[in-house]
Amino acid sequence: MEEAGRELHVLSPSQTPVSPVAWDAIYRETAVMVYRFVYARVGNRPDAEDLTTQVFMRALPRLRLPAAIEEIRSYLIATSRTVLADHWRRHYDVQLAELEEHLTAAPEDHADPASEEDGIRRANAVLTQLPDNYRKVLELRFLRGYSLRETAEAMGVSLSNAKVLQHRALRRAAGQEMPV
Amino acid sequence: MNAADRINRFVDALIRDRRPPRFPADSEEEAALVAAAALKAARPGADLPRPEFVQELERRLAREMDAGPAATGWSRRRLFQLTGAAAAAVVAGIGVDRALPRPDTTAPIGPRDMAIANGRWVAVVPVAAVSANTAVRFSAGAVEGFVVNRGGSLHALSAVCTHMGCIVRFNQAHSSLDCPCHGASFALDGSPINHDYLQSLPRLDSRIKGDMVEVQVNQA
Repeated sequence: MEEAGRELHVLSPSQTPVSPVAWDAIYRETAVMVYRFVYARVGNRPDAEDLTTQVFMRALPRLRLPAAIEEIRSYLIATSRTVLADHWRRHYDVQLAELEEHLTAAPEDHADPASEEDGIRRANAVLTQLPDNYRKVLELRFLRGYSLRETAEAMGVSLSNAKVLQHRALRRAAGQEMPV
Repeated sequence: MNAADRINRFVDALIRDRRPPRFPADSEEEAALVAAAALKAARPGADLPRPEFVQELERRLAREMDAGPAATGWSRRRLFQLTGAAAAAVVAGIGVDRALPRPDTTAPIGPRDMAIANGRWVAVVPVAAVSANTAVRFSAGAVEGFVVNRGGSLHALSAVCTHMGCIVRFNQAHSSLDCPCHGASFALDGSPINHDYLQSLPRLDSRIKGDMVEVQVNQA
């Protein structure tokens, strides 16, 4: 049985690099990137899986050929932004103008394979700029996965104080350059 | 329920990696939610997809494409024309996937994972240069690889990380091939060490001729 994907050719550097590649190869090359891009903007697996599915269902049939892998990545990221904006608008009633401010604040280096480390580094940079209590509540909650009660105990504050601290810390963090 | 409560319920769901509650949010609240999502994603490894999800979505996309050109403008056999230097890395990555068994088959993985059309043999590294449990990097045409010596047995591996296409580096201290981009690590047989969902580094066709290791690369 013949499979399309077997018709692969390794490129020689002297040729104009044009190479036939099956769509599933594109998918495998970009699936992790799209998922992480989406995940960083919803922060949970079920939504990230649903939205990643939407991105590929929408984008793959519309890709124009030929295309450089960088163009395919850019198109997938643009589609991700649209799908994310729909998600936030539908479920959180957020207006598009406000959303664009947050979602498109993203640096354009998403295609850079090192951007994950950048994301972590920038998250840490945001945390270190916060006042001690704000930083601590976010570190305990997000980086250590503490419950609100455990966080309150670790910080020696009441449950409702911890909740208010968390709220203010997130709002303050949102006012800074976020790693999105 | 006030804003602090709503946000706390949202954060609780994120920490458990569950779907968070939906509610109308004003602009400031929404900014806090987006910040929460970004912080959650910054936890190392939190934002990596489940391999089952990646495979299931591929099957679903395949069904869409199989519905035929009338339905989607696509067919499973449709090919992309990839251009640009990055295409080489993509192609190297694919050779692997296409030659490996599909997830639902049990065919054994052969010694040669990389499918190369019209290959030719190129001498890349002297046999004597590859001492036991080390790896020596080479570039031959579009092929970036390592010649690896595992306890006296030589073979060649692609140096392109199966995660996102960075070039892995030999780590002498651990006798491993490590990716500088996201920390993936591969054993000298190409198998992933710290991320089970990754594909192994593909083996390249190799042979010893005279005192040189030769690798098959594309016909120039």
